[in-house]
Amino acid sequence: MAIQEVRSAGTQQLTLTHQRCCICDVEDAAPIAVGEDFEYRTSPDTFVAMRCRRCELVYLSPRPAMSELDRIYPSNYHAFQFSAEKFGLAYKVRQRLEAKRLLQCCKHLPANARILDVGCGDGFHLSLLKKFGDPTWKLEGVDASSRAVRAAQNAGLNVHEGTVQSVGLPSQSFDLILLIATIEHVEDPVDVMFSVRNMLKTGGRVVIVTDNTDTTDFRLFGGRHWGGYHFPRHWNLFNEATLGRLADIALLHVEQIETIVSPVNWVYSIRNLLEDRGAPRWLVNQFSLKTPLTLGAFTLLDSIYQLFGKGALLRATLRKSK
Amino acid sequence: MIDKPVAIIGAGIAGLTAANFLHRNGVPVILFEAGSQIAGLAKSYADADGFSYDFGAHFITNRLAAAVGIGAQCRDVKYYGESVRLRGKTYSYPFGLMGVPRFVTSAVKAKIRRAPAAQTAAEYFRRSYGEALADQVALPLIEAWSGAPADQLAPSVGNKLSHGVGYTMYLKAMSRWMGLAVSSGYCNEMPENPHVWHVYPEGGVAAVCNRLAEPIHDLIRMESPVENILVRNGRAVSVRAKGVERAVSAVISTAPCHILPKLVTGTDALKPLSAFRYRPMIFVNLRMEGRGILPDTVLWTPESEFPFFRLTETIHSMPWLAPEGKTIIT
Repeated sequence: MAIQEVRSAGTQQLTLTHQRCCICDVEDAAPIAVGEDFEYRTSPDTFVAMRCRRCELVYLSPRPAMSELDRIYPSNYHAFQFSAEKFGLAYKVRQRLEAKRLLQCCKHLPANARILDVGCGDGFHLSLLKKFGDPTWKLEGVDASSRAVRAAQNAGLNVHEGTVQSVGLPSQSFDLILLIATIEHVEDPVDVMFSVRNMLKTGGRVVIVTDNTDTTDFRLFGGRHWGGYHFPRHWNLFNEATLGRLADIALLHVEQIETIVSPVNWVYSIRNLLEDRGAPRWLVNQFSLKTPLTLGAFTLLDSIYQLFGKGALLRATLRKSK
Repeated sequence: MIDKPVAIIGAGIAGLTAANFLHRNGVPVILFEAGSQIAGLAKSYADADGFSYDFGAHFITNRLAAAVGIGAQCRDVKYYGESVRLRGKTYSYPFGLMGVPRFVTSAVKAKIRRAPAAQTAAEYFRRSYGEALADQVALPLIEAWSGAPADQLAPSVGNKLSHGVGYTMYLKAMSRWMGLAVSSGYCNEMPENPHVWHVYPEGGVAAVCNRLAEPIHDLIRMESPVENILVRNGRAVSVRAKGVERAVSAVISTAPCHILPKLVTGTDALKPLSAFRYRPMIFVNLRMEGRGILPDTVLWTPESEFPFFRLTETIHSMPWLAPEGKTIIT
C-alpha cells in the first residue's frame, strides 16, 4: 500500500474538537466548506466551515484544540514578523493606511486616554499609535503568543502575555479597546467581549475589525479557498448581523457597523486556489502580502465593492453606555 | 436538564452519529448494539491476501471525513465513473447515453410535452428521461434495485440529480479538470459542489464509525439486542435489553422500520411501519487476476439476460484495495 498517498504521512495530526455556535449556543449548522492549512501547512488535517442555521455565523468545527496553538501559529506566522525589511513597499503603504484608519477611531479620545489592543501580535498597531498618535496616550497590548509578545516588548511596547480574560487588567479603566483581526481567532468571542466590556470605562468604546462574510469574495471562494477562512486559525467569521448580535449579548451599544476596504481576502483566496491546484511556485508567489501589484489591484476592486457597502472587512464601533 | 439517558438502538453509522452528537452536546446517551462489532453496514474487512472490502458504501466524501475529524487519514479518490451495457455496447452514464439517437429523440419529445406531475417513479422517469431511456435503462435498474415494480414506487425515487443536467455536466467537467472524483447525485440534503469529492480512509469506510465511537466508547453496550421499548402516554419511558429494564428519556432507533413496531409496547402508533418490506440484496466479491476488467468503476446491466444488475470494480477508483495486478469485481 502506497502510504505516502495518505495525507497524514509525514506531519502529525492535530487534536480536534467540535464546536457549537457561540452566538446561539446550539449546534445546528450546515457544512459550507472543507479546507486545509493552504498557507502554512502546519498539519495534514482537513477542517469544516459550518454556517449556523439560526444566525448565519460561520465557524470552524471541528477545529484544533487549545493545546495545539503553538503548532497552528508557527514561528514564521505573518503577525509575528510583519516588518519593513521583509515586506517593503506593501509595509509602508499598509502602515500609512492603517495609521489613518486608527486615528479615525481615536479622534474622540482625551489626553492621557488609556488604550488596549487585544490580540496585538507583534505590536504593529500599537507602534502606529505611538508614532502618529497623541504622546500622552497610555498604550497597552495583550497577546496569547509568547513569540509575539517578545517581539512587541523588544519594540518598547507595554504588552502582556495571555488572554484578555486571564491577564488581570483592571476593570473600568480603558477609554478604547481595539480588536483588530482578533475576534475571529479567539476561543470564545462572547467571553472575550464580556471581559472587554468589564475593562472599559463607562462611555468607553470598542473597535472590532474582522473579515466580512457578506461579500463577493466570500460568495466566489467560500466553498473552499476563501482567504478569510485562514484554515485552521479563523474560528468565528461574522457578517453585519452576527457582529451586531455579539455586541447585544455583551450589552454593548452598537454605534456603527460599516465595511472597509481590504485586498487581503481576495489575494489569499486566489493564492489558496492556485496552491490547492498545484500551480507553479512563481505564480502562487504573485499573490501574497509581499506583492504590491496584486495588493494594489485588489484594493481597487474592493474599493468598488466598498462603494456599495460590501468591503472585505467589517468595522464595528461599540460603546459601553452604562 | 435531562437526567435519564437517551437510548440509541444500533451502533452503525447513524446510531453512532446520533450518540456522538448528543454526547458532545451534554445529553446522556446509552447505545445498544445487538452484534459483537460496531459499524453495521459500514463495516470494512481486509483479508490475509491483501484485498480490502467495504460492506456498504465504498467511499465517503472529503466533507464527511473532515466533519468527523479523519480527513488526515484519507486518500483522495481521483476518478469515479459509471457505464451502462446495452445490446453488446457500453455507454458512459449519463452523458454517453445521450449520444444514442433513439434516447435523444425520446428525451426531447418528453421535454417538449407538458405532462402533469408524476404520481409514480415509472411516470417520473418516462416524463423526464423520455420513454426509450426510461424503459430500457432507468426502470429496469430501479426495479432490480428495489425489487418492486416502478409503477408502485414513489416519484421521489428518481429525483437524484436535484440540480439538473447542466449542473451535473459542470460537476463532471470539474471532476476531470481537477483529477478528483467530484461527488454527483448522492445527496439532496447537502448541496453538491466541485469541492466535495470522494475520499477513502485508511482502514476502510469503518474508520468513520471507529472515530465516532472513540469519545463514547463506555456508553456502548455490545451484544445487547433491545427486547422491548415501553411507551407510556406517547413517550418512550424504558428499554429492556438482556433482560435488564432501564429508564430512558427518549429512544432513537436505527433498526429496520418494520422491526421497530415489534419491539414497542404501549402504543399502536408505529403499526403502519410493519407494512414495509425489506428485500435482501446479495453482494458477491470475486477476486480476479488482472485489472481494468470492467470499463468503469460501476457497470449497470439493465437487460434481463444478466443475473445481476450492477458490477463494480472499485479498483478503478481505489487501486489500493487489491494487490498489484489483481482486482475485485463485486
